[in-house]
Amino acid sequence: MQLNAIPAHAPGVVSRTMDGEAVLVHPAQGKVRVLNAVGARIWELADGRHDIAALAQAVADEYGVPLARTEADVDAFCYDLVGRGVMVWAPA
Amino acid sequence: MMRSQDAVDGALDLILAGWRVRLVCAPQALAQAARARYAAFVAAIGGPADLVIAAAAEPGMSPGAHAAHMLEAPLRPDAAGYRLDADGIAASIQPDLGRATLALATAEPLGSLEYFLRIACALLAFHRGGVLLHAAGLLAGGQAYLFTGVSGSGKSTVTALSPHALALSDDLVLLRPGEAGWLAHGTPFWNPDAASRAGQTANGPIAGIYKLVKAPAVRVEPLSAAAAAAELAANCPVVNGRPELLPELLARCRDLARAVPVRRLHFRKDASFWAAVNANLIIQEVHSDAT
Repeated sequence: MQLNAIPAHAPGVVSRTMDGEAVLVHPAQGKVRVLNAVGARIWELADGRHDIAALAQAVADEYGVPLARTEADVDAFCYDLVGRGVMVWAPA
Repeated sequence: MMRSQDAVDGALDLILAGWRVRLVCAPQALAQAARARYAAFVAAIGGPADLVIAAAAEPGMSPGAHAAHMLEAPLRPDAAGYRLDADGIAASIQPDLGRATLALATAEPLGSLEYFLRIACALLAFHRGGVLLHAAGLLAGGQAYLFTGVSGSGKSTVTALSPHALALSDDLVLLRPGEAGWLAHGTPFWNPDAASRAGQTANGPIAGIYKLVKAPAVRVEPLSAAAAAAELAANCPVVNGRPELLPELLARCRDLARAVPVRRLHFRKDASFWAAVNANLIIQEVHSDAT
């Protein structure tokens, strides 16, 4: 895990939150994705200024879940979205 | 410069979902071919057009240029609207001003005109509050049922399995909001092997929109607001590729999903899905009455 990595929204991705879930549209890819409530909250927090550790702490606090597990989940989630091109890593 | 008589002779009006689209074609052969292809939609010229397309086909052939290239050619925004440039094709469209130009130097000018007309209709509908939806549309009992899905998901199959219904299109339907709710309109845009286009000029209020999933058991599955809006947005061609239009597209799809049931339909390759669809709509009405 790289907990000091800083996720950010990829340029060109447009999103909208509906009933706690997030719809992401990547026009260049022609893809539309839906994030569940937790994913939508991580997406909201991924502002390019806060690292994975900070995102995980926020999620753990809000949902009352163990931090170690949350760090692993948030890390995997962000890496997955970076791999799909909807997130990027901001410079540290 | 065309003489006024040429302009009249080369012009035809099409009524698509109540919008008047005027094609001004040169040479005459292109106008005649368009009139024959879109005969069911042709109306007497008159009144203001919602969109005027000036289409000119040049003689000659551009090797390798065919209609499919236009689908792959991206729209580029410019100061007035959009441009589309591909091998043998130069086009502009200004939806806000209701005008477009199309210059063709291809071997299949009518095919290229058709594909540009699809693009133009997508933008026209969007700018007028509606959407062009990639879906099969069926009219049954006075109501429209729309079926979305990727190629091979079964749109043509559900159309073929529904002889009691009138097909609005097996590929693209125009959705337009009205005082009584959203209406689905047939279009001239079909898959090439469609057996009948009997319902292409029909329309009806939308009973439901169903994302098709092939499955061994038939059932209707609800979608969350986000999933419903996402499914709709994913099936709004042309517009969903324009970043500057996406915020409004997502808002419109959210509003459409609030007004019309959007479900996932697990279906087999038989007509049993209609029972599930109708049963689900009855449940929907009961819940609505109870609240």
